[in-house]
Amino acid sequence: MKPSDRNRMLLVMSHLLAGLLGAICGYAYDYRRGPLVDTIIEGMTDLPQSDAAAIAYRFGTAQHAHSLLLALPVPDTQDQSQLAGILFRYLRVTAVCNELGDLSCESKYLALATQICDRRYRKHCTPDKMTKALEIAKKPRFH
Amino acid sequence: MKRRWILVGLVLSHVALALLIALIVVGRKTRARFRTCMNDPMCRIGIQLSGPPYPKNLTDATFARDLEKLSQSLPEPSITVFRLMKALGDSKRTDSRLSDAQKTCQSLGWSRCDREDLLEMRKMLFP
Repeated sequence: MKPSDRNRMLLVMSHLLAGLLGAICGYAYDYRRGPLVDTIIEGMTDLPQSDAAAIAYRFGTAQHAHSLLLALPVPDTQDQSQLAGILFRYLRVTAVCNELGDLSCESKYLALATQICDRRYRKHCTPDKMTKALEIAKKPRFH
Repeated sequence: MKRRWILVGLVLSHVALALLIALIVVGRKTRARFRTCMNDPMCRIGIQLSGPPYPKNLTDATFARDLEKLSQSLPEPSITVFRLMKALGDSKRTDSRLSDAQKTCQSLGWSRCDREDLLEMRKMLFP
């Protein structure tokens, strides 16, 4: 093999290696950043129902707020901010059940909210604390 | 001197090629992720309810078709509330859409449907 041929071969091989390295970096970047993009897409998918429930709770009838809040998916999660969101949602359902005069629904969702509160704050959420939290959750509706 | 420039050129061509390939890979993977969103009616509605400007391929007609597709799987007032939200989003650009929003709100039987309430709703949804 002539020296010029060897140099050409080396040049091609080194560029192929650089390309391969680029592809590996691209996949690695996507592997790290991918979950963030997925979170944005999930947020976009959840947005219509969560916004609909939020405006129904603030401006709508108790019946509509009730059915839209209950239609929201409940993720099986340990994420602290998501748990806080679920807790707040259950408190809102409790408030709406109270407005509808449905006592069994009210006590069911207050118990669920207490369970989530215990998980979220890793301590016993007393009835007194839950009553205060319920008053806060009620505010936007009667604003 | 000539050798040094050749060396610089070689380094640059390798780095440029690696960067180009990395960008192509990331672009393709990200596009694939967003394509799954564009194939899901709820995600398409989510994009349109996040307020204008909308992607060119998402029109009022696609919004209506997506609502039609989802109408069986969602509880009763959802579709009408989505219409209300869309009209509120559109009213940021076209003021006349606010009266459409008002009609939709009234059709839901909600008591808080005057202009001030609608503007408050809009502020809440599209801050």
